[in-house]
Amino acid sequence: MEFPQPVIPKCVSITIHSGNILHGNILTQNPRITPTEELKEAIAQTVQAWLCHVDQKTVEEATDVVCENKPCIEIYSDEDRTDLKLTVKLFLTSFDSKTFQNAVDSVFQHLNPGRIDRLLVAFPSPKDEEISLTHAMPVWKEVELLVNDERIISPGVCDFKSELFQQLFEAAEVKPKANQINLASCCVIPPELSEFANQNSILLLTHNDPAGNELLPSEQLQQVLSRNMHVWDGESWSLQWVARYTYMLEGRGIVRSKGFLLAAERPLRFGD
Amino acid sequence: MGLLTLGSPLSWSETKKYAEHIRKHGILQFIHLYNKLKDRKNDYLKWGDEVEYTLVHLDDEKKEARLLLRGHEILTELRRKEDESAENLVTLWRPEFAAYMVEGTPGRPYGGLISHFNMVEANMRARKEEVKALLGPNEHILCITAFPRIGCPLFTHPEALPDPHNSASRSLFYPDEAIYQGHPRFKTLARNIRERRGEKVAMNLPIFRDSKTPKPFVEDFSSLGDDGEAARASLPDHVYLDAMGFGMGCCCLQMTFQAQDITEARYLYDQLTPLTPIVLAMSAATPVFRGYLTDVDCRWSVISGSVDDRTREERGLEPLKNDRFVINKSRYDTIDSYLSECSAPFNDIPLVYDEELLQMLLDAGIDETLGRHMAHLFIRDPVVLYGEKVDIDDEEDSDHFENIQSTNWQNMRFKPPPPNSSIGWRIEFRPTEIQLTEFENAAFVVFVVLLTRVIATFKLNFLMPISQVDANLRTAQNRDAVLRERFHFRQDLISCDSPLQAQECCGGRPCEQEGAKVALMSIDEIVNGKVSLPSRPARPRQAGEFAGLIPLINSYLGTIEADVDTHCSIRQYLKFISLRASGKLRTTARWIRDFVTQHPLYQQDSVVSSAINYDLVKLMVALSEGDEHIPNFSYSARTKTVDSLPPSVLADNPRLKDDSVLQ
Repeated sequence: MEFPQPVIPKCVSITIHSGNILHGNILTQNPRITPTEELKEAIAQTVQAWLCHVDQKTVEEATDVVCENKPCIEIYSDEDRTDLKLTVKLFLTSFDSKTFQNAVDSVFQHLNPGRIDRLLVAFPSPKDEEISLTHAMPVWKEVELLVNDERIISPGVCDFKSELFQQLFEAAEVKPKANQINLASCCVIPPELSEFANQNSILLLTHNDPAGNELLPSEQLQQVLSRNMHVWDGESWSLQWVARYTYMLEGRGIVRSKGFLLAAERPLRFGD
Repeated sequence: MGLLTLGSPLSWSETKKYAEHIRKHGILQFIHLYNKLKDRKNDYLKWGDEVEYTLVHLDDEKKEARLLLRGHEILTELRRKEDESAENLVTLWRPEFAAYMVEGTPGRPYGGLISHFNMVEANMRARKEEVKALLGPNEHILCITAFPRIGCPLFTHPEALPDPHNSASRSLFYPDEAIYQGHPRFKTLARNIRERRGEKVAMNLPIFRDSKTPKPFVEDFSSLGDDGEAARASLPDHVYLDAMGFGMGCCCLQMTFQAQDITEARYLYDQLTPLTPIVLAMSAATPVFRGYLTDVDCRWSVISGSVDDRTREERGLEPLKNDRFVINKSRYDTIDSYLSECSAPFNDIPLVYDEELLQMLLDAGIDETLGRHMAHLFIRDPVVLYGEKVDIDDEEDSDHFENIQSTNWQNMRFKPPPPNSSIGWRIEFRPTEIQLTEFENAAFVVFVVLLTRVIATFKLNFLMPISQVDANLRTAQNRDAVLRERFHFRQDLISCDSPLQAQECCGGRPCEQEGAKVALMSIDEIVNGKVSLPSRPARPRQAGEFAGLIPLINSYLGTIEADVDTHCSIRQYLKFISLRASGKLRTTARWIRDFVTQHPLYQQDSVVSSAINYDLVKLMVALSEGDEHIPNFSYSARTKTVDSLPPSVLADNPRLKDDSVLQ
């Protein structure tokens, strides 16, 4: 598709929802695809699908756009939902608790899941220092509220080294139940972490995401949007967060759906 | 293992008289089961594996290895706990055809959590340890497909001589004492199959031609008591085998899964069928029979011939007079049709079936595809029947159904629920040859069961014309097939949108055969994938590329949450399979060949002498214990397998706490 002019020239806030990407053959066409490329491909497919049915006139004027792949969005009945386990891994780009709140609200708004069975929080790597409890606590306090509200059942973190994990475990009122670490080290878990996990029934899970949890650098988001719309539609976006979710029939080991939800912002252009 | 009812088996002529009765009532029993249970749904996946073990005796002084005929004794001990109705057993035991075999399964099925995959190896090890505790000095348990010198003189311990004039098999090589003694089923099967066929079974395996192998290779059987039958039935340049024991006395590895419902069972049965030759080729472990190196790496054709009860008329050697049909295959062979209605366009083999039985099934509301499947299985006679069990209640018992169902042995089996249980619709994956170590066997089990999850998640479609699956299965048995052969395989695995939707295929339109592009690929390409350029991610698939089974599994694993230990184990299982597929690790068959041909006592004449056999079996025992490591064959694994689910996993899944599965 060629775009003679920008599709979303006034948009400063965008939410992209891919719906179930298992239909789009991303994973099966190229099973070796990296998590980042998978997300980019999902965004591309979402934008292309969205452009097919969106009303150009309305969207030209919009400052807030929700770009979703409607046919792929699945809502489950209560009966189906009981058998499904929803896991959300939230890739944050800051330690700000308000952004975290917005992300969770957005997940509830777009997925309407009733509850998140497992939330895994992936904190960014701070510049020039190691991540510490001080970084993590504001968001974790929000997590605790959500667990007490039963909107999150089982909370966890990602790539926390043994010491930090223990600190969080001790400081928190609602304890983390899981720590997701990179696949590459799944056979060589540090013994302190392993022991602590055993003693406290903590699940050590695996992931294949890039180090530092930067799943989608903002420049790459900009590129995907530019490529799939008008070149100016991709400019200046700054990614706020990405939520990658899966619904799994856990008793049968079958993934029902996998998708992405993300939010990005950019400053106003041309002041019009 | 088959149906083990108690009672006294009838003679063949009496059994034959009831054939029609058994067939008809078997179908009625199936109809009853089907109508009662066709809507049964099981929320949780349950699955299990079956390992068949061989007992051997090693005499280190005389340097002899023999098959140990203690199966019945050992089994009685092993089953003591089951007989005492103990609960929550870790293992279960069953007899098998031979007196030197025992079959072990997990005590309860594995469940649907990814963490269950981490329990297979530990459970297999527990089974082996249980048997080892009952063995004396010089006695060992092995996981081998076929003891290399079955049928050679004095191959058993205690010694037994074949009795070609009176034994159940009338074999020149295989004595009745080598058949399981604790239940009449197996001897009766051997006898009845022979009597129905009108002659002994005859398997001829092409001999492996080495520089000093006689040309032609012909054996003189007169000194063994041959009355001329063997001289006629044996082929030059072939290794001749004449008993059910050569086939059913082989061991294998099987997996059974319970599907969510009958539709999913039929779907997975179909989808796994094209994978049976691939797994057979990678697991090949049987290059020696009756002390000779053959040109074949697998047991399949031997077992197929060993229970071939077809008469000369049925084999098309004489015009039909007493028998109803010319039948193309032995009752042990590949399946002749896919089961889902959606798969019908790929059923390109003409089916021989009983019209009357088909009509009964159709009248009862069963669809044509399933009806033909059953009517085809039921062209066979029952080959073992117990007097006490001829007249049974079709609504309560399914013995007649099981009788015919369990004496059709194919690469896949579709298993309806037994009456009066909560068990669901199941399928059995049957081609895998058994490997020496628990690690390797667990790897094959995990590979296949994981594939079913991947198939169901991504809605993959492996279907191709079933005649091509047949061709593949023949090819898979060739010497070094995993390295040298190419197999028909579907290229576009994602063409069917949602084949699980009942009665709907491919989003409304029927699955067209034209849509199935099939090409020849090597096992390496099928399992590890084929890319034309080193991976550039997110690039759409180029023509000629193929995703590969292991990359697809890895893609699935990246999506679900595997705990670190399970993932650690699975990674190693998949790495091992990957190396077998690419040939970087030799198959068990290739390793055995190399061991024999490189042995100092080997005479380049294809003969595996008693001395060579002793060294081979002794090394196999060491390998199975992890005491030896062979380059390009052994895989140094350090998996994290456990015999129960970790507390963190149990705590995470309170709803799945269920005593009906292993935990």
